Amino acid sequence: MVDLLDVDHLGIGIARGDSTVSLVEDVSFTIRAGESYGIVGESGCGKSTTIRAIIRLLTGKARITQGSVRFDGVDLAQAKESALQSVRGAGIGMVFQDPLTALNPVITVGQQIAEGLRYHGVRSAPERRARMLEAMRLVGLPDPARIAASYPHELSGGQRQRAAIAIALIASPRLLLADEPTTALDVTIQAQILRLLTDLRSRLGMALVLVTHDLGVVAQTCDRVAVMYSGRIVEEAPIRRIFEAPRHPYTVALLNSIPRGTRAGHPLHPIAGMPPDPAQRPPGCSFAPRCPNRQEDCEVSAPGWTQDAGGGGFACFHPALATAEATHG
Amino acid sequence: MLTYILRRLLLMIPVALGITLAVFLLVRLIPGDPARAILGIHATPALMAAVRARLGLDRSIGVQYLLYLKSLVQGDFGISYYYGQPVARLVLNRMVPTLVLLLYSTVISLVIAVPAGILAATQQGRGADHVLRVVATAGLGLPSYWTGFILILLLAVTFHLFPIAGYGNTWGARLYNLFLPSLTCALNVAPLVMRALRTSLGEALGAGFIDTARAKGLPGRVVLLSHALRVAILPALNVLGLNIGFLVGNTVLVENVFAVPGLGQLMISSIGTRDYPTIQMVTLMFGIIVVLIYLITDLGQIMLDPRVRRSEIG
Repeated sequence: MVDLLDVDHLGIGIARGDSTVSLVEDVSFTIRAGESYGIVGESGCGKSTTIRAIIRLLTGKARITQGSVRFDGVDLAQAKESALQSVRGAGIGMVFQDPLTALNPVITVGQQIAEGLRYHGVRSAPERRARMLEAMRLVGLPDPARIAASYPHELSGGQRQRAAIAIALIASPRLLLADEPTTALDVTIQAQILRLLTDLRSRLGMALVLVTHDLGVVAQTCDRVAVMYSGRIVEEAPIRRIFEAPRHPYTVALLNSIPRGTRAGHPLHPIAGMPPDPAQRPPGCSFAPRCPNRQEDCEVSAPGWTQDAGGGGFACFHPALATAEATHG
Repeated sequence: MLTYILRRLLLMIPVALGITLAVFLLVRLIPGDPARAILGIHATPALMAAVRARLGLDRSIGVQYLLYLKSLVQGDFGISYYYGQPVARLVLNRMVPTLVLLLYSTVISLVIAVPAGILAATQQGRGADHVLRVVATAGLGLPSYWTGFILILLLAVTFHLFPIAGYGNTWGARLYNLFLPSLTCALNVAPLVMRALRTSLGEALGAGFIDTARAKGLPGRVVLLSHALRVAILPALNVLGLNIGFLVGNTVLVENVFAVPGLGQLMISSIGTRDYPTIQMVTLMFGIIVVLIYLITDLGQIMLDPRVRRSEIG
């Protein structure tokens, strides 16, 4: 398969006073056409920043400081605003975390869904409307004509997220970026939205990058997954391998922290400590202060990337054993 | 919607009643005597007493007020002591210039405040924002009778761009003549609207729906004007409405500086002649205009904001 997106040594920083605080460092991954890729990690690990940087929607003063983001052979990290505008929506669509704030409160839902087409070459208003209604049916919004004339506050949270997905895919992008699309929703709605995303991906042949803090979500949805910690990818692997043989101690800890069991008496295993402040990362491995496998060398220099035989790899001096399935049992 | 408007109009009745009482009492607290104002300083006491009796001013204040209310209810607003004609006709004739002045000031305020607010919000913390902040604070701090004279001096006397004062007979002439007075009023309102817009637009530009709009591939101009501004203009219009209400008081000063034959001028001259019925009627009209402006502002919010629309009418 062809690489659709190639993120190479991406670095993102934010100016604070005279210095630049690095939010994301040396992040590289590729997305193949039609595949589903998950990025997981705790809050503040840089996963949202990373996918926002892909279409250059970084918040505040954050800037791409190094590396490239190649989509269709064009480096979006260097692209001009006009080139970005034609990629946004039509090449790469994006769904955001909070459907409550993601829709404009004073514009009808239908207009918000159809609007993007106007700037991607669909001149005829009736055609835009037809495609708007089609997109609304596609994302499972009931009675599209009525909902198209409604305002966001008249819809439920799940309906709003469906509308946001319709906005993202109306111009038929080949890549959909989803930034914690289910975090703000009820559990039952979460499952529906995930099923919808999976379903749309296979029906439309889109690739999907799903950012989440929930490994369970990734398990249901993704082909491959990257685990981020403190601005870096610490492990990447096909989805089965992550669950069967996690190598990085942080991945192991994340898996252990998933609540399991439906009865009482299963203790939770949170990861002790907090991720470091990006402005004050330790000199060696960022995870070292919280790591059970920590040894002296971890605190001296950051571990390099070790390629894994089955695709993917990890960044750790003292990884869990390749067969150590029992470590998270 | 219609019931909402009706309810609001009915609520005007107690407000109007309050205004009549306050004005009725305040007017009679002004030192001086209408009979003296009508007859001049050489009138005999007997003549003055006769005039007072004819005007009903010899009765107790309570009776006078009740009689006043009674005639108000019957649609009789009284006869001007000074002009000798019905106050209602007098006030209606003077109302048009004042309303034009208010409307004109509103338009000029928007023309100044909206672009300035957009500029300040998009340049937040940079040069243009600081300059606008200083200009706005200055505009707000200067009293309108002073800015009025400065504008006359600068644009009328020195550069002959506008007339010094007056109203005019055709609508074209009126718009031309009323430009400086309207600008003078607008200079007191525009800074407030601009600051409100700067805040609300800055907030809107950081909102999630702006990310969504940009992620669609909309050009920056469309994101700014049809997404951010559309949301941000609502609180700014509210501030505009409140301050147009406040501006009504300002027209009294401005009309006198620019000799605009409106309600404000009539008010000042009738205070000079102790023309009680006219003062009472003009003040009542001012009160009603203010209340109507607030009603229009609220209706505007309902029309423009679907979130309010539902809760208000539902």
